[in-house]
Amino acid sequence: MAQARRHICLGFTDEPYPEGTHICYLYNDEEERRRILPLFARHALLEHESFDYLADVPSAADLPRAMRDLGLDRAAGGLAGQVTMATAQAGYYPDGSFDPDGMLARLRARYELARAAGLAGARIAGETSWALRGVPGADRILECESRINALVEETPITVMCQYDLRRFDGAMMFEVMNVHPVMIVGGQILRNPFYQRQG
Amino acid sequence: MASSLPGDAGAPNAAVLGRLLVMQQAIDEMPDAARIAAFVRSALLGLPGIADACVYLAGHTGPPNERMAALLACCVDEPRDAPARNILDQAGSTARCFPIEASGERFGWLVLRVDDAPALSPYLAFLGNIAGTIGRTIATRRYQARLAELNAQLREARDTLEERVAERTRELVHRTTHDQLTGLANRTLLVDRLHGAIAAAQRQGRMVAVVYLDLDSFKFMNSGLGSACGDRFLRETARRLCGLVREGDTVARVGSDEFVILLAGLENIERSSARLTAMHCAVREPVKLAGKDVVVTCSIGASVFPLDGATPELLLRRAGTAVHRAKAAGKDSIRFYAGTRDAAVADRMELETELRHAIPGGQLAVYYQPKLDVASDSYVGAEALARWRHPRRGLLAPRDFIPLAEDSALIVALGEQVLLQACRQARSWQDAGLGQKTVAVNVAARQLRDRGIVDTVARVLGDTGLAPASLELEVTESSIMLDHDHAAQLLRELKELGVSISIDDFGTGYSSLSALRNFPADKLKIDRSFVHEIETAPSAAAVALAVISFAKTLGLRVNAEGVETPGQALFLKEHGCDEIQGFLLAEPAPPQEVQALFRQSAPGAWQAAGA
Repeated sequence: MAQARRHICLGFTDEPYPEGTHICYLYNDEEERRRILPLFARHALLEHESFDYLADVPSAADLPRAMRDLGLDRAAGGLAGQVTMATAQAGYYPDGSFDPDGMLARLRARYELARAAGLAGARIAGETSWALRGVPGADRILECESRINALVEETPITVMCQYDLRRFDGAMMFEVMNVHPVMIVGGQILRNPFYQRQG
Repeated sequence: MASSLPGDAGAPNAAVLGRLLVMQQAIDEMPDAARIAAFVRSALLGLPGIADACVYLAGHTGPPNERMAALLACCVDEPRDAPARNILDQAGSTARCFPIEASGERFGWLVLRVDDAPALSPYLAFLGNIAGTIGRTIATRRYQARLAELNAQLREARDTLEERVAERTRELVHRTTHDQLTGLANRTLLVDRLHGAIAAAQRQGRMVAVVYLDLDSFKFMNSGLGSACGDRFLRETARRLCGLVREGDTVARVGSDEFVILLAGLENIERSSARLTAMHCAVREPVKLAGKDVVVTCSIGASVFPLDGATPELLLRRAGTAVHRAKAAGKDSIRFYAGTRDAAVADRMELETELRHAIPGGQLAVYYQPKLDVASDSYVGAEALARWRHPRRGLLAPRDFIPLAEDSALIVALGEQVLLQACRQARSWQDAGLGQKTVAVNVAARQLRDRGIVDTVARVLGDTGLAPASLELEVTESSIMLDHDHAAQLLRELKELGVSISIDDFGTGYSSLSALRNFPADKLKIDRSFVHEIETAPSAAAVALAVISFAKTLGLRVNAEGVETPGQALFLKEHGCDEIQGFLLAEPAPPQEVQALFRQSAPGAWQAAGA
């Protein structure tokens, strides 16, 4: 299966990566995000993939502003049908609590929906600061991250998990690094030497 | 979560090196010392040969655990080296310390408890790099924080400076466009506003008045009371004038004691005269200065766009010309610029302005025209007729100013004044032993709009002590037909006071005779136009006879005014007219002359003249 996997351009690096790459993006600079995220989104569309973005904003009414702030509105220009924006609540904990099984099922469904629509694949990027607000089940986020690695083996959705270094503590960041095979730090994409393949 | 990687003494493991490199990159991105310390400790724990790790950054991280504290003491304090060693010996491990510093400044230590020194040995140089990266990152963060602080201070200083510059600029602009003493606009700003007002008036089909106001004896007051008092007077004048203008108007000070008021967007220039009068009066109100009530009058000259010019310069010059005319005519007055083309309009506006002063100024006089009872051949009373003793134009007849007063509501005050003087005079005649002479006073249509007239009549009768039966109110036929029901109600209320009602100018309107039947009138007055032609035009005579007949049918008395010839008088007498008045008997005259006439025993000379 891995051999048949498409290689795609992530946008912010020339190096092609296999679809279904699970990336953690550690950032502390909004300018850097405004450079990386639109490229990631734009290349999803150029690769004929769907692009979903989960923004940690209070309500759907805040989404257009969030998209503008990140430059995603321009990136999605002309291909609006392939782009879905949602709040972190809608994407991560629609029932009020975070459940890794539900999250994995939604990722799988998203990928299958894209394929059923005739698209080549799907990619999703999400903000994770909601996990610091005491949402029930948020303590299972690392479990979920770990299981995504297994999921993408069979359902090659490309996932970018964004962690704000200004908000999460250092030990937590180390644990996050352990469950992502690829990371972006300092704006550079790296194969993560801390990643520990499970099983 | 972290797992140890295999150590290979001598040759570094690529995976371990990768971790160390990624650590360095991640440290670079960490925002503060606490996060760096927590991350580095977690990341180092999986490296070969490391049993424990601690990043101690003075002032940023909490105290390490006891064992690491002992190791830290080894690093920073040589005399305390021995106990630490003991601890290490007991644990079968050794310590490695890497100073965390940058630019010669020590921030703290990276302390490792090593349980397999050979396994760690290939990475010691890299660990030194990690410590160096921590030092540089902390120095950078500190530098960035300081930079942010300085930037904030700079922004604040810049904002303050910009604010001060803006404030100073506003001040300078204000100085160049305003009078410093009064805060009013100066000539520059006035001309600018005048340009705008003229342009707006052109677009909207409106008018603009330029009002030049010059204090009459300011210099005298200024030298007498001192310039401080003069300045206070000017400020007070400015305040009063500003209170009389609307938004969009401008009050400017253009000379030491000269102001110009720009009245913009006027629909009707005639109405502006009331505002000029208000300004004139406001300036003349006493000002308390140096313990005295100081009164300074002013002269006002006004020009009007588009009548007198279409440029600010011309309008200002013509307003100046008008104010010079006002000064030349004795000061304390108001003049409009009178161009040849617009002399009539200007004259009317000027007259209206003067009329406002005339009533409170005591310029209004009342003349009386006697009325003769034909049957008894005796004077029964007189009709009160207003005259205006105009200071420049002389004695003005009602036709010269009553229409103006009726247009501007001045008629109400004027009518009240005539009523008061007439009642007082009738009482005076009665007190002089001339019998129950009546006085007739005209009531204008505007006075019949509300029932204030009822209160006014009651008050005047009370104040003068005149018996209500001695007062006759004359209302015109046209004025009562405007709102028949309302007028009828008012006249009923007036009659209830005990006064009598005459319908003036009868025959000139289009009265419904049936409506008149219900009016509470006591007398009809045949209009002078019919009387004038009564001997020459059969139709006029027919109307006169019809009025007499109609009055008799309703039980009303009949008066004929404008009787000028004995023939007219005889005709009226023969056909049953009760009263006559006119030049044949006497012209309207001052009260003393009328009083002398009343004393004559044989007024019937007219009959002899006609016989």
